[in-house]
Amino acid sequence: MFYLFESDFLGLIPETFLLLGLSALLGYGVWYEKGRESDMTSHQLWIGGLCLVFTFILLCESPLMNMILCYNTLIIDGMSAFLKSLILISTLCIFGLSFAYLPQERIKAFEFIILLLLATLSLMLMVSSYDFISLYLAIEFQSLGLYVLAALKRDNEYSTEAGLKYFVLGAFSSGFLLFGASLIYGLTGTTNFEDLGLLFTGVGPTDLFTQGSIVVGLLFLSVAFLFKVSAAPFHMWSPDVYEGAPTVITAFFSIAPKLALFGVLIRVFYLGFFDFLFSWQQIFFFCSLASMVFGSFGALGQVKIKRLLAFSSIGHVGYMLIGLATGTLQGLQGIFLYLLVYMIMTINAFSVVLSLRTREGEPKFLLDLKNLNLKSPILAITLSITLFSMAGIPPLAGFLSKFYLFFAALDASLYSLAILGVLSSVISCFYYISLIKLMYFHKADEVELKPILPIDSQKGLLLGLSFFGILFIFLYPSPFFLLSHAAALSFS
Amino acid sequence: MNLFLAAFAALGISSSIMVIRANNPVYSVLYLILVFVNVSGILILQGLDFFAMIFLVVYVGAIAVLFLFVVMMLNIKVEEKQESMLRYLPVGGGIGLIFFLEVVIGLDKEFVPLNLLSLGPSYESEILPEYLHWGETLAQKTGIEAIGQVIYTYYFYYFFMASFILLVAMIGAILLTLHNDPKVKRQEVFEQNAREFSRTIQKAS
Amino acid sequence: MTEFFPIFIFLIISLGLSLILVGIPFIVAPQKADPEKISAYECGFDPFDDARGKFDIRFYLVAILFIIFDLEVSFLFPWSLVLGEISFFGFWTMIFFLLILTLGFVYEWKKGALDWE
Repeated sequence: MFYLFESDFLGLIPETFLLLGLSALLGYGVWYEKGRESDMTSHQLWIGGLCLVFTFILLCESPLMNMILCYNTLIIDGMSAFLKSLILISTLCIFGLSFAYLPQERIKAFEFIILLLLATLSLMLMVSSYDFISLYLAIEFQSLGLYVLAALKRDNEYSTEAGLKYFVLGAFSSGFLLFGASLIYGLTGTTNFEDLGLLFTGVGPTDLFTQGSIVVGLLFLSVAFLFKVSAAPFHMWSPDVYEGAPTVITAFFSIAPKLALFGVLIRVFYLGFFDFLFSWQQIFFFCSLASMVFGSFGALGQVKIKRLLAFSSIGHVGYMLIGLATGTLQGLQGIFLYLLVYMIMTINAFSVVLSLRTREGEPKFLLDLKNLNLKSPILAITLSITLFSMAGIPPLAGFLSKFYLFFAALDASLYSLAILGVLSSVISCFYYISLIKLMYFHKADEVELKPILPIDSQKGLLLGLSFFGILFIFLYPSPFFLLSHAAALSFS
Repeated sequence: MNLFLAAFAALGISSSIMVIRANNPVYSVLYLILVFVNVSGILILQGLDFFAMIFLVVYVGAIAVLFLFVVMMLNIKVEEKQESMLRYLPVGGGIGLIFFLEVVIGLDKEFVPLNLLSLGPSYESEILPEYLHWGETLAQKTGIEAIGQVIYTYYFYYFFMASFILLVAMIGAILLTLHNDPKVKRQEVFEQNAREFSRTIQKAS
Repeated sequence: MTEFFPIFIFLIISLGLSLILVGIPFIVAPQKADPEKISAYECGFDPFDDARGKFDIRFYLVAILFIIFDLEVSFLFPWSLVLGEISFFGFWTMIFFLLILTLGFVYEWKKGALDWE
């Protein structure tokens, strides 16, 4: 039997390494934890970060580029390599943010690191999944870890509420996913994406009776995924969860699962159900529109920083869904580019928010940003450039990615989506700019300047790198274009 | 056989209605156990004996116990009378109707004979795949053996994923529920067993 | 399927027997209740408060850990049945599965989730 899987284990070397590394870390942590809890988290962060770096190197050096593994349950291709490396980088950034955050919030549980590593592993497996069963298992694996991470501060009401809400709605959407997948399995007798794609080749709109139920299955699947990526009619949970979870976990939530879920969405709908393009295009069209509108209008009324960031991420998900709705390779490339830029911007925004910590704790409200210019001019300029980039103001990275997506939409004749996208990004400018006004032009008379705690070197490094990325990707975008193009080409 | 199916299904449905209609949450959980038992009866009728066993062991043996614990922990006495059932009926009934229609539509449909007639009669011979009659090629196996033969070999990945999920569940449950209060004295089994009375009892002089 | 028929007979008999045992006293036994008869007697006393108090989440933890090992054991059944046919590969997959869960077990042991105070 082993000869059947001989080379499969070669393809899974990065994941295997990550698994072995985190098992060793778990054993190390639980064995030597007694009496030195605070040292332990920092050890684990360093070693876990190292583990991620090695996994990244193994991933990049992997000689196997295109392969189907483990008896048609997993696949390696350009997209999986691209998204897996983004996931690893984002987890590494989260680790960088955690160095100062964990002691500040007195989180002594080293399981934080283990669960993050397990979640990373599951996200990597999720991007590779090639079959509904492996997809479902990977999603469950990922969500279980994330529910626990959201409720990590178990004495804090917000955090437990976040965990509970995330759990209930996550379980609900997993149920939808299962229902849709079992409908499709019941009608076709296969769960494999490629087999489904082959089976559906050239299906015309003739037999509505059979096809109708496939379309309903498809509807359930897309609702489940849209729940998970928190796209608009299904976004209710995300502001609460983002607000309640510990801030580094919020940063993780808003980056890594979205990277993996967009990979999965693309794999399911472009590989398995591409011949039903005109059915699912409408769903994503509507959801993308709704997410952009809800994202920008919902953010206008917010007073808390993390809720604002949650709404902004809903808006970004809407822009990315434009790329999905196009049904073209250009749209896919736009999504990949957007994901990359979104990752950089979100890392930057969250590291600024975490750097604003004063002696009294983390800033919660937008008003805490008042007069940031006087307190720390460099942080103020970083945050304002990032916000400009999120809004899509020209010479910044965010503009590049949005521009590319809108052009993809125009090429696919989705004119209304492109126009409304531009309009909603104009609306989103309002609240981004109102933040900047708060930082720079607020009257300075009644301020009591609480000093900001010094920023540790890891966070400084992250701030610098991501700021550099936001500023200069526009000047030399070709490597990123090439990377995202290579990722998109796996669906040509 | 149909009689058994009808009996199990009727009992299952009526007890599942009782799950949501019972006023006392403990009764709800007990009815839920009855539902699980009936469903495992249906599974046996389908020939899925292993799943019926798992259903009983996992759901009745463990999950129903968890439900009871939750009911106890939340300390709900008697649920308030659901006077507002009519309020939820349109939405719930609509969703239920959709699910029902979906199952009716989906039942007994196959996708494989891809609308041959619509393509015209000449394509028929080219498109129609040669079916392999699996029933003739396979040896007779019981359900549990059939599962065992694939899940540990061809689909070992699913099996490993199950172990990862269980590991995460273990870590998560302990992380979220275990409070180690340093003030509470704990059992130190090894030390307590290794104590010698000659060293511990001392003569007070 | 027919091998489950004895179980069905067993179910019928147990159902009937329990119904008879509960039902006969209702019919046969004389029921003349008076306040002295139905009140608590001997060592019994009226309960001080509701039996449904809140209790420690630790019980819940034990139940969850039980479920996890319950599932692990239920995976062992098919394995033991087909061990002769699945070659060494099948053997090692189960060993790997058990290793991962043993890791979890070591974790919960060292963490003290199984001790009682």
